[in-house]
Order: sequence, then C-alpha cells, then structure tokens
Amino acid sequence: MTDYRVIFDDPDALDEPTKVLVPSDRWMKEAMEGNLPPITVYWDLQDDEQKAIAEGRHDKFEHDPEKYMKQFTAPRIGPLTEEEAIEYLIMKDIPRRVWSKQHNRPMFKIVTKDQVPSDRTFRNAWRLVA
Amino acid sequence: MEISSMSTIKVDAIQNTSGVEVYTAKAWVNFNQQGTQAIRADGNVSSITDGGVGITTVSYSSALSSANYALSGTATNNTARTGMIGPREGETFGTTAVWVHVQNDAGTFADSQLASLEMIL
Repeated sequence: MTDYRVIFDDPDALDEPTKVLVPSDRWMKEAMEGNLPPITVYWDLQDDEQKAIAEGRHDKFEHDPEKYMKQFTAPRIGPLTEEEAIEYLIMKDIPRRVWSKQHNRPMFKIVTKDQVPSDRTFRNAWRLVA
Repeated sequence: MEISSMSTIKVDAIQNTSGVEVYTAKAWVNFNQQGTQAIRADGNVSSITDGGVGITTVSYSSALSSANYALSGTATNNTARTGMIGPREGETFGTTAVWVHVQNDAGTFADSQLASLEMIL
C-alpha cells in the first residue's frame, strides 16, 4: 500500500547498523481511515514500561488498565494522509531519542522503498549518509 | 448459537462449552528478511524494523496489556537451517514492540525468507 520507508540511526547505539522501518499495510489503512487515538496514548504506555524497565520490575509488568483501554476508547484523531500516517508512525515506533532531539547530523530520513538497497551484502555495515 | 451479518464481535473472554477459556493471538506477523525486509501479512502489527542481518523489531498496533505473554516463531532460510530467537539476553518481551533475531545452526545471525511470529496472552 505504501512505498515509504524510514531509515534511522539510534544515537544511543551508533555502532549498530542503520535501521529500516517498514510500515504495515493494514496499519496504514487504519491510519488513513481515521481509526487511531492521539499519539500521547501510546507515549503514556511507553513511558510506564520504560519506567518499569529502569526500576527492574519489567518481568512482572502490566499496564494500568485505564491507560491501556485508552488505545481503544480515546476519541479518534480522524483520517490522515499517507505522509501524516508515516509521521505518526515515526513518533509511535521509533525511539523518541532519534527524532525529538537535535543531533549534529540527521538521525532519520523518510525514503521510498526503491531507495533502500535490496542487496544485503555488508548489511551490518550500512550507515545513514547525512 | 449462530451469528450472521456481523463483522466484529467484542467480548472480554471467549470460553468453550465446558467453560474453558480460549486464548487467541494478540498479534501475529509473517515477514521476509531477505532483500528489502517486507511484511506479507499481519494482525495488530504497525511496523517491522530491519536492524541488521537476521534482526527484526516488531511493533504492535495496540500495546499488549502485560509483558508476560508467550512468543513463538519460525524461520526458514534457503541455504541453512534457521531458528527464531527471542529478545536479547537479559531482556523481557516488550508490550509495545519486541526484538527478535534469526540464527542458523552454526550460531550465526542469518536472514530468513519466511519468518513468522505469534504472541499469545
């Protein structure tokens, strides 16, 4: 459905190869039909889980039921364009440290599928060119 | 009971006639790691992220309620026997995403042309 991909580097793991995010067609359809909650619903859940990991209690982690249910009950944000859906997906599925902070070079780029190398030779050495 | 003309059923739990709860997959995905990684089909998955040879992060459309779910997967490869391995050492399953990798029988990370995962809770 979408030809967009997002390539990014993790500033906390610059020795790791550049990553490539591939959207789900099914999710894109939901986004473009307007079936998503505000992005803050997901951020609240991510924050709670990160806090549990930091405090060493993730092995017993369960979400607060009220926050969990907001994924399904919060008012929908309305239909998104394909580009808006990709921007939403970046904010949902790519760590915030990648896109919310200023770095001395771009940490991510939105590209089209044909711009991503299909030859995986030296895949673990891929780097994002600024 | 017969249900017709209905596309979505919303219930808290499903039980068989003996009252035993039926557990269903909360997410699943069938994907290819070779060439440009791609999703063939999925349920409750918003994206996959190619993290290098054999490495994929699966992000959920809707977070799972608990980190204590069951994850199972399969992976095949044209050139070597492969298997699907769960999170990094010392990590647990994430409720919003999970990191997995495919390894061949020599213990080396390898791309799979047919990988699949399901998460049950």
